[in-house]
Amino acid sequence: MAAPTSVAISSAPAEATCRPLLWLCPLILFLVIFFAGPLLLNLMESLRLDKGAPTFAEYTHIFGDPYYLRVIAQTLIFGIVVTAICIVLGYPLAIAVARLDGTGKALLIFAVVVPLLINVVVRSFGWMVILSRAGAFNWLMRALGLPTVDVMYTWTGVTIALVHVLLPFMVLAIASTLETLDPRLEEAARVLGASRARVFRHVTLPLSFEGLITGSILCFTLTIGSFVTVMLLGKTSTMIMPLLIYQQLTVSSNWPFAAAMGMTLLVIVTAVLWLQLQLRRPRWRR
Amino acid sequence: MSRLGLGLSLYVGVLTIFLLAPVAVVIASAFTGAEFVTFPPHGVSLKWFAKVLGDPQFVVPLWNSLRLGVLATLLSAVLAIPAAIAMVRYRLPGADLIQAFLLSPLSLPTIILAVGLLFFVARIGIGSSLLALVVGHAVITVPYVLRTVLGVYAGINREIEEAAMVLGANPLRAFWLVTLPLIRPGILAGAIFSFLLSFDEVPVALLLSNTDTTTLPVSILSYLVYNYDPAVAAISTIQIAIVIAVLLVLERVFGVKHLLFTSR
Amino acid sequence: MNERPTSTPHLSLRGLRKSYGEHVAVDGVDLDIGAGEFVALLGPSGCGKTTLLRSIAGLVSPGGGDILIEGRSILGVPVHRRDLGMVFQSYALFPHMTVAENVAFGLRMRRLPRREAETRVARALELVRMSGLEGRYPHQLSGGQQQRVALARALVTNPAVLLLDEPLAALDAKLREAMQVELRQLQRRIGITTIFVTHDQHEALAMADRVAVMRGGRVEQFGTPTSVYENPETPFVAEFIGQMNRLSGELIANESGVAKVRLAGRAEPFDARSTSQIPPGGAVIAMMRPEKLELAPARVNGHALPNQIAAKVTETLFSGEKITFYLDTALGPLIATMQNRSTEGKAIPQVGQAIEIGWRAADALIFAASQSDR
Repeated sequence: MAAPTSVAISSAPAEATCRPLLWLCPLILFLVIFFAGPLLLNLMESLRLDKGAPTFAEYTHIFGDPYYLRVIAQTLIFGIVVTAICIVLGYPLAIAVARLDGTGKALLIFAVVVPLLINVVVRSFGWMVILSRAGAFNWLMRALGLPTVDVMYTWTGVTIALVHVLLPFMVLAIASTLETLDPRLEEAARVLGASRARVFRHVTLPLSFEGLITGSILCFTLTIGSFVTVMLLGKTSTMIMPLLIYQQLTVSSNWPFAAAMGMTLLVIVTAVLWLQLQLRRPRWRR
Repeated sequence: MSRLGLGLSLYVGVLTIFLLAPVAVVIASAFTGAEFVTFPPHGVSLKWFAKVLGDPQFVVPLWNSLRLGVLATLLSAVLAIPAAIAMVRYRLPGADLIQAFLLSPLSLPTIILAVGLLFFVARIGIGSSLLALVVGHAVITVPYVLRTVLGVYAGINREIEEAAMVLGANPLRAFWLVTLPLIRPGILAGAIFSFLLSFDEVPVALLLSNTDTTTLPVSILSYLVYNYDPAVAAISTIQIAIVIAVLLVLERVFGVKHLLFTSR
Repeated sequence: MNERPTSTPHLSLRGLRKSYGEHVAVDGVDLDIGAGEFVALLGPSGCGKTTLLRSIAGLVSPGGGDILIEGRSILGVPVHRRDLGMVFQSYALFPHMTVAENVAFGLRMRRLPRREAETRVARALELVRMSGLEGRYPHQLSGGQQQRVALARALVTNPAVLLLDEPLAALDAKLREAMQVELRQLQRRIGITTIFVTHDQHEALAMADRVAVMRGGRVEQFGTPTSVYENPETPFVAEFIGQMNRLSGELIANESGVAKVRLAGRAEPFDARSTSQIPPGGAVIAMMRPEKLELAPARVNGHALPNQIAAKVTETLFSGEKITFYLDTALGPLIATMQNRSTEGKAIPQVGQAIEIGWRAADALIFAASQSDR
């Protein structure tokens, strides 16, 4: 749900005894068994290990079939599009959050966070009510004398709904970086003669880069992993990897294939996270 | 609001409507007197609430979700709190790596984890039971509790705990009387995240539950696949109300509001 | 080196050692402290004084050596059973408890009945002049008040030893001076053995019965403030406490209780405090305290001071109670200070003035050059 930001720990010269291991063990063991374990099983299942020697048959099946390749491509493009929209829509909101104080700020943050508290099924249902042919949006269109639209089961509808789901993450990620920005930097730029637009481009934007990266990676990974929203608002006309996996598991009961798809998705997500680590390396001394 | 220009204020207004629209629409639809979901809703009636609250199809999953949320949170807390304390107090070899591993479930799409868990529970035979669900949810929620407790504990003055021990408190009493009250905000924030996450979770619950252990989101989902009526709106509104109620109560009792915004 | 008190030491450290990986924090410390003594551990940061204090408290387990209280080793005793009192640099008051609850904590751990605990808490607060503030929370108190509550909390259990880790460091100068006096008076009244860590030499000299000057994990000298000031045993101690003028030269000979030293810059030898440890001909460092250099010295019994030299004043610094003179001499730059006696009508040397300065043999200390690390 949120990016893995690690906590900086600086303890005084403490002694490493074996007691801390005792306290850490339950959690480490728990995650090794119930987190790493399932992932490992996933891998094994995808290699069809229970039927004998490991085989890459499932993977060749995926990467040899143009349909599946298209699904993978669609998933990635979808992720990029949603992320891009979130950046464009979210940045001004983040600026607003950073600039406001007191009640205004609290209210805006509240408005941004509330959607996150609502179940994704419920939110998708909400969009169904809004976007369906007889829904709220078209009611508004008719009232204004504008032509109605039909975006159910299209990429447009799914994109709108997913942007709605992920926008809060982007806004909060950027806002938290903007908050730490020293306003005196912007003031200094203005005093030196830069217009507002140039101040933004040359001062604010580069310094909020880290928040932008965090938000983008988050949006992207959550988008390519999302499945309920796409299932409810797109059905099979907007096929992305998670939906395909679910289908293969429940409808076709093709476990090895689903596992292979899952591993592919996992590899993509890991690659993106690794990219995030690279981009996060300090580009100038902070 | 005067700190934003006119353009920005307008923009914020429009986007706020965008953000709150689905929620508002769902709540509005729940009060309709009609038999279908229409917009705008026809008439005002509570009949759908009555129907839904009397329908075991929804009520049982509601209790399941609440119970699951509490159990998963308890398990997460029990696992994460000692771990967080150990990580701050002792400089362990490979601390960064350990921390990265313990926080990694945060970045993974839950569908992958759900699929893996499906294979896992099939193998070890606990099948689709409450235990499987609690464990599955705990895997997802424990990094949150760990992160918030770590954040709070790393910031407190260690000398306070040392003072307690020098004054005669054995490690257990020092933890209970001094450490715990100090990290309580972190535990609470993590617990809230954890509960809400579990309450709203779909992929794991979808794959791992059976008719007895279905959670609320899953039951709404299956209902939606075949039906499209205000019952969904009603039960959704109830779920929203529960979430907001939990948050308000906790805010009133513990003052957690600012934590929610700053501990992301 | 140790000036041992006549009675059995109350607290003893024997060959105490502590290392963190490569870094040796405490490198074999021996100390004997008498009952009721106020001992300061003084040294620059990183010298191991805090580690030493924490070892006594039990918060750090030594890698070697022993700690004895009244002859019995406390090394195996866990922190919470050592029955010591400690005031931390940050005071470490429990933020979620009131002043009274803070002070009562130690008594609560010892399961004292409520009535008795309340009485003792009240008495402890009275001792530190914090009566009436029992219901306050730490964040409602000033720094000085917090410090006093921390003290009351440490003392209320009647511990065997009181440990103080730079307790006055966070206070402003005036308050710190007042607290130094108050703390010392309190300690004398109660008579509790006290160990006090500080990096401030003025504080150590002002408060302690004996000072342990530490460097690099070792105690370089352990003695009364006077002896540490007047008779430093190493160049480090000499320079760390107070100010010193420092000159290089060589020892010519020891004759009739006085060391003859040739200093760079003048052929004639100077007189210095005699020492048996340096062989004639050996390279030495000579040190004189600025206040021991007399400006325009008067003649004693018709004789000039044995060490006299011409100097020119390059700068003066008025600090209120004293005046510092920066001098240029054949031996190099020197610093002299003089108490402010402006009302006595004596002329004060001005910048640019040429004067004579002199010092007694006993005021020039010499050390073997090898003892210094510069």
